[in-house]
This record gives sequence, structure tokens and C-alpha cells, in this order.
Amino acid sequence: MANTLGMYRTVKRLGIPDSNIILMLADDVACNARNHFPGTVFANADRKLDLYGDNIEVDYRGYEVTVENFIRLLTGRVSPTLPRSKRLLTDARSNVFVYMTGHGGAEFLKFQDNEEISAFDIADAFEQMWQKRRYNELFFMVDTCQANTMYTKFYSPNILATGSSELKENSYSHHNDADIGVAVIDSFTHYILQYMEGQNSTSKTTLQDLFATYDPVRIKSHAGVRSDLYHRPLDQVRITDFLGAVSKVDVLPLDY
Amino acid sequence: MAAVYTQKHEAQVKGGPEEGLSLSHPVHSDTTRRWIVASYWLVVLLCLPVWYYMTSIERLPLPTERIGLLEGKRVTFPIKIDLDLGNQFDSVQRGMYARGMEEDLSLLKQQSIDFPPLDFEFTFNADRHPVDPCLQSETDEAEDSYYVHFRMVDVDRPFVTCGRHLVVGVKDTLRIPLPVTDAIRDLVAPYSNQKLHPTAAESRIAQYSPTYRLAFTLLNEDASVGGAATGWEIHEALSRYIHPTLTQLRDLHNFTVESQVQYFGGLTFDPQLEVSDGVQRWTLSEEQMSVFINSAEWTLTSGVSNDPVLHFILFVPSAERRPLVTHTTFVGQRNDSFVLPQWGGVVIHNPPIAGQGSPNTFLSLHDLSGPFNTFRAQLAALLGVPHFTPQVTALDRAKFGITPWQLDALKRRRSLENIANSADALRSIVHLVNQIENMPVGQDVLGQVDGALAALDATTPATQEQSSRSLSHLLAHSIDALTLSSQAFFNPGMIGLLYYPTEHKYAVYTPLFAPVAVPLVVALVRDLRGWRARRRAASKQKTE
Repeated sequence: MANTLGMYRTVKRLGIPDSNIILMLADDVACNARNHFPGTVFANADRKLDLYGDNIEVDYRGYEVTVENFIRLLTGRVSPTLPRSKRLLTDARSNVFVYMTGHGGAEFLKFQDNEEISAFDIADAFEQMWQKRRYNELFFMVDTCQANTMYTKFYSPNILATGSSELKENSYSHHNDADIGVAVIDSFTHYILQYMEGQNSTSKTTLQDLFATYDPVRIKSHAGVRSDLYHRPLDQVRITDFLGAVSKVDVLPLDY
Repeated sequence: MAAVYTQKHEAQVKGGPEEGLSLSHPVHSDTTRRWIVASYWLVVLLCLPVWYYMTSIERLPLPTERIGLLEGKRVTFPIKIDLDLGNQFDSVQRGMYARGMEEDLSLLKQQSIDFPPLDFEFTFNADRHPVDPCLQSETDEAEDSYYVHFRMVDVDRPFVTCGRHLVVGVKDTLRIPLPVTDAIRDLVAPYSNQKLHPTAAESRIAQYSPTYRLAFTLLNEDASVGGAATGWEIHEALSRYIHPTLTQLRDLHNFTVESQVQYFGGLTFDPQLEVSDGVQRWTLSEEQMSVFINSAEWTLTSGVSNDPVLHFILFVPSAERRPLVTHTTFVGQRNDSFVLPQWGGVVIHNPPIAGQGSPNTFLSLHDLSGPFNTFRAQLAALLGVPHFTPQVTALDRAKFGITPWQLDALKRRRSLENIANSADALRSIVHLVNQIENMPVGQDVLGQVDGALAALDATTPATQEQSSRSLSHLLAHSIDALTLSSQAFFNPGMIGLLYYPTEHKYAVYTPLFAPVAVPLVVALVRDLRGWRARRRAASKQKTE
């Protein structure tokens, strides 16, 4: 939860509008009766940064978060009556960032408590997106146990992937909050968010810089990067290419 | 039957008590028991095809061959150019120029075959044309038919267009302006000229959609300090500046227009204050322009439909920060507006009064003329209307906004794009269906694919009649093809069933079927055993 909300906060802060973010939260922990601090989700036990905030738009909530809905969202095969906010309206010039987190294992990630999505499903969904030119470049980030297995099955071009841990390796949470009695955030996401908090929408840092901060000792697992499907050198890819909205502007000639 | 009974009876007697199977104390007679076991098996066997049918995925065969053939088909656009040398040349000159023109034009034929593929047809006609073709207001001319006239002129204005007529001004009968073919090329195929259509212009163009939503926003940076624009004559401005363009583009797109006024739209940064020659102004740097849109806080569209949106923002800076201009890199560049490629445009409007506490204003049609002319240009640029070549003067530009030459070029471009995109989508469907084995293909998908193919066939010359070859028809067919092929691709029924590894299937099926299968198999084995034992006994008896 806090993982996803942290990413949501980051991309939004870097200028991506809510209409371009599709946030899927399988559970409403902020408003759960057992949440000791109602309406808030904190990224840290010190409770300084409320990720839930005042302005949050959850597009898929609770039992809407299913494997089928996720695949439909990616491939665009949705019911014609589905509202705009629940659709991924991207085209051949869009850079797409996909972040997934939850409990997982070798080549699968659990959705809710009874479903799972396999690495094959995601790979096929991405291929279908590529075939219909629904993305220009895609950045896939996954934080789960054995996360790096999730991106091993990809075969479509222009995909860059990163995961929190290797095969047979667990991803651990960063720390617990004793007052609410649960782990608040996972290590991998925690350190990425920590890095991202130092960035703003005009930063020129590259993904190479981000990947260089991966430290197996701190994260407590070996985070991985897969870039063989990707065509640009990573030290030339700005973080804001995926996680921010920096548009190229141009000025029309006077006689247009 | 009776014989069997006796045999069995004997076998039992012979076998004696050491045969501990229940066969020795049958509840049912042998035949009944066999019928019972057989009927269970029969039910299982009969259900197998039903089970197979229920679990298999409907995959109707796609017209793969027809889709494969699309690769070879190429759309060409017929261009008829009617040349009229006028009556200012004598017969020798006329023959010479006609030959020269023909040579030049044949070069043109070879040059611009790549984008878009044009099929030129030239005719020479001298007699039927009026002295000044621009005096006759012919607006209902056929698309794709263009006229080139050579006329004596006094002023030095070599190229003038009106409607689909290009008038080449000749000052001296011995010398006709040379780049006639260049002018024709720039008019007919503006996208092929890098100078006229640079990469920046290309990347501005929004992806084609049959429907668009245009969202106009009057955005005050901070109305609380006064001097804000509290309203605007949006209806009048739209109908004067925007609607004529929309009407011209109606063959291509269907537009929905919405507008709103907002009073507080803060920026996420502070513009720089620049003082030059005693005049102070606030400047947006290029970097600031790129993050100008504060999408976290500005609500720019209603989001009621799924149509792509083009945003147009009239930004009124806070009274404390006026005038606000954009950074310019060269003299003569616009400093009041910029375009966000494929997204929309921003125009900054600085009301003359500045300073805290100044009275609010209402933007009249007169105030809006500048911004809305810019919006009109931005809209045209975003929708891909080509730049009109500067070497030609369009007399009717003020009347039309977009000249027929530009409109035809745009239509050709969009048709070509749509045809290519829908053929791509169809090929992708075939590719994916072959690749992903559990992707269903239903009747509706097949219908949409067939529809798209039919529409695509209608765009290629082999199958169509002369009458339906006009550009508008071609465009309409290409739009149909695009819509149907993307509907087929995005058909909700085409979602492949999820992938399950084989071990998962075993894990699901074994606990379910093992308890059911064990008694069935055991009963069968037991019966077979009993049957074999009895046969052995019977044959032994025979030999005895």
C-alpha cells in the first residue's frame, strides 16, 4: 500500500496529472477501522509524510483490482462503458511506467488473496500493447519476493525493467510501525522514494544514477535491472522521461 | 444367459471360500452390476466431448490470406492538374513552354512518390479558361483537380492561389517564373518538404482520432489580488474564430467544445523578473514553459467522454506579475504563446492594467481576437494542417482560414495514416492470435475484421469505381477501416485466458478428480478380473 502510494505521490509531484495515473489499490487501509490514524498512510514510522494526502484519486479500488482488470487495462480491451479514468489512453508516443508490488514468488505476483498474475501474462500483455503501439517506451518496476523473475519472460522491444530481488530471494520490508503493528514500507521502494524525494520535475538525473544507488546491503536483497530489450543507453535516459511530465514546448511561427 | 449362470455358479463352487472378493456374495446379479459399471463409464465418456467443448476456446479462423495481401496494396492519390498557358504566348513560345513544363512535371512525378504516393495526370487546356480565374468564385470544384494558369501581371507576385487555382504571374513572355513545379509540389505535397514541414511541426501533430474534445479554459493565476478576468465572450469568440476552422475540418473529425473559467491557478515556480530599457517584465524560461502546466492542481477537462482532448488555456497572470512573456530565442518570435505538442496550446493574456487591487475585467470579443487567432493557429497545427508555402500568396486565406490545397493535403495524409494503421492493427491481430494460443476469436471480432478489410478494399483503386474515388470518399473509408480495426483489436472478448503452468493445472484437477476416479477404475478392474477368472475356469472345464 505505502509502496504504491509512495510511487503515486512521486510521479504526481513530478507533474503527471491524475488523469494519466491509474492507481490500483486492493485494500483501503487508510480508512480501515483498524488503522489507528484514520485517513492516513505513512511512508515511515516517524509519520512525517502522509502519502494519502488531501488529493488522491484511486482508479481501481478493492475488489476491482483483479488480474483480469489489470490485463484489460493494459491491453485496452475494456468494456465500452468504462469511464475514462479507468482506461490507459496511451499511444505510440507515450512512455509508460508500470509499478507493481505485493506478495509474489517465482514468476508470479498475487492479486487479492486468491488470484495471481504470472510473468507470462504480463509479457503477453506488454506484447499486445507493443503491437497496437500503446507505448513508446515502457519502464517496469516490481517490488516483491523473487521480483526479478517477473520480468524474465518479456520479449517486446523498448522495455526496461527493474525488480527488488533475485530468484529464491525475499524482499524485506524496511521497518515496522509499532503503533499500527504492521510493516510500513518495503526496503527497495523505500530507498527509491528516498532518492526520488531529492528530485524535481526539472532534474536531469538519469536512470543510471537511480540504478547506481541500489545497494544490496541496505535493501537486503539484490535488486536487478533488465535492459537488453531497451535501445537507449541508460545514462541518457532521464528519470523524468518515465516518472515526470516534462513536455517539449515549441512556439508557432507568426505566419501560421 | 442361463449357461453363463450355471458356469458362474460352478466357478463359485469350485473357487470356494478362499476367493474373498465380494463377487462370491453378489448383491446384484452379474449382468446388473456390469450394467451399472458400464453406465457410469458411459456417462464419463459421453461427457468427455462436452467437457472438451466447454473448456476449449472459440477461435474462429481469421481471413489471414486477405490480411496478408494488404502488404502488396498501395494507395495512390490521383492528382489532376490542368495547365492553361493563357493567350500571352505566341505559338512557338507556347509549344516550347508546354514541352518544358511537361519535362519539369515528369520530374515531379518521380520526385514525390514517397509521401504521399501521388498519381499525377496533366492536361493542357488553353481555351476554356477565363482571363482572371480568381474572379469566378467556384467553391464546388472536384477535389484532386487543380488548375494552373499563366497570366500576365504587372506587380511582382509570381504565385497566387484561390480555390484550387494557382495563377503564375508572368511579367515577361520570354521568361516564366522557374520554380513552378516547386510551387506545385509545396502545394500538393507539403509534408514532403523538410523546410516547409520540419520535424518540430511533425511532432506537434496529435494522433488521428475521428472525435476530439476541445477544452478552452480562461485561467486566472490569482484573482484574489484583483485585476482578474472574470469572464469572456466565449460563444462569440468561438463562433467567429474557431467554428469556421472546425467546419472546414468536419470531414476529418467530429468536435465537441467545452469551456470554463477558473480564478485560481497557481504556478509551481516563479517567473524571472527582467528589466530592460526601464521596462520590467516577467519572463518564462524555456524550462519553465515545459513544466508550465500544473496538472496536479488545475482541472482542465471534464473527462466525461473518452475522446482525446486538446487543451487551450488563456492564462491571465496575477496582477502583481504583469506583463508575463515567454522567453524568445530570436527576434520576431511569438512571446505570448506556446504549443505543447499533441496536448494543446497556451496563450498568455496580459490585461493593460496591473498592480494589486486593480479592478476586474471582462474580456470582450475585441480583447479575445488576438488570443483566439492564436488558438486557431495552434488548433490547426495540432491537427496537422500543413504550413502554407510562403512563396505563394493565397487570396482566399482570410476567407477560408485553411486553403483547399492544405485541406486536401491533410486529407491525403490522414487517409494514408489511417490505412497504414488499420492494416497494422489487422496484421497485429493475426500475429497475436497465432502467438497467444489461448486468445479467443469470436464472431464479432471476425465481423469487425471483415468490415475493416472491406473498407480497406474500397480505398485501393482496383475495386472502386471512378465516382467513389474522390478524396473525401477515400478518407471516409479509411476512417471506417481504422475504427473497425481498432474495435476488433480492442474487443473485450479477445482477452486471452490467463496462463496457468501445467503443475497448477494438476494441482487443481487432482484433488477434484482423484476421489471420483478411484471407485470407477477399481470397479472396472475388479469386473475385468472376475471376467477373466471365469473365462479361465470355463476353458479349464472345457478341456477337462
